[in-house]
Amino acid sequence: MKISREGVDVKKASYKDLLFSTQFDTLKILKTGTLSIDLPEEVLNSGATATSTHSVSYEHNLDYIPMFLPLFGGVGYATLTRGVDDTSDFIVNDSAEWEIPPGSYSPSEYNEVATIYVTTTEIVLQIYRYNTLPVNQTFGEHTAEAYYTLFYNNMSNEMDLL
Amino acid sequence: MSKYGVKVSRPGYNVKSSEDADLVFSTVFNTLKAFKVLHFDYDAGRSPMNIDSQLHGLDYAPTFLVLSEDSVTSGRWSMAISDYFGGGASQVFVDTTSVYYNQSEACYVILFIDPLDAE
Repeated sequence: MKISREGVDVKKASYKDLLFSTQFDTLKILKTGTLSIDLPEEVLNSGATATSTHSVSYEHNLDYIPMFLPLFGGVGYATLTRGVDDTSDFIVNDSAEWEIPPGSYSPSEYNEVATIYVTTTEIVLQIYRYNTLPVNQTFGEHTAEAYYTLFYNNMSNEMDLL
Repeated sequence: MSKYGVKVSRPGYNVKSSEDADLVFSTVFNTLKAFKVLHFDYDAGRSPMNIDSQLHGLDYAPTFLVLSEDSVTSGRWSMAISDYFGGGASQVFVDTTSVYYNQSEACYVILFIDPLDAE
């Protein structure tokens, strides 16, 4: 089955002029939801405990790698948009700022970094806190949330439908 | 002129009166059409100075989405972030013939028949 754009003959339409075609696959939504983490207040010091990791997940149990949104990795939001000691709740999807993950070129000596990833069984929101300075840094108590969409589409299925 | 088309509403919604957001499908809107998934296997030699590529089979730049494997923990897949050390260049990019990738980790690229620059 094929459906062409308005004004285009479906029998002669190129791929670009098709709105829909059963020759190709579509993104099929399995589930939309929210991943929410209650983050505790904690003090990190590079001379003692310098990092902490918190995560929450939803088990999709598809047994393969599904496509998902939003696509972001290593979003450090706690120095550009708010202090690390901020106690207001935060929606990770709203973050437009990027902060480079820790390393030799990192401009940020302490931060709270959000990553969302999938495995063959679950989708995970991970919050990673770090402090590379030899002084206490207090990270505030707050909730971090991420809205996600999971698709049925199997990313490890190497199809070619042309 | 009569207009023709197809609409499918969500269960419990009247297709004749549904808002657009309550439609599962409508020919008023384009639908992203996936035609290929490419796989770049792990390759320690791949880098911004040694970029790998695969032909996508079209003659225009297609819309695409990417998942790459975490460099520290295998089995974790997320977006390929921009390469800070490469001056901010993207890890995955397309042109009118190929898909390019410049990181060592494995990644999957889903390609859509829809042009990247369609208006």
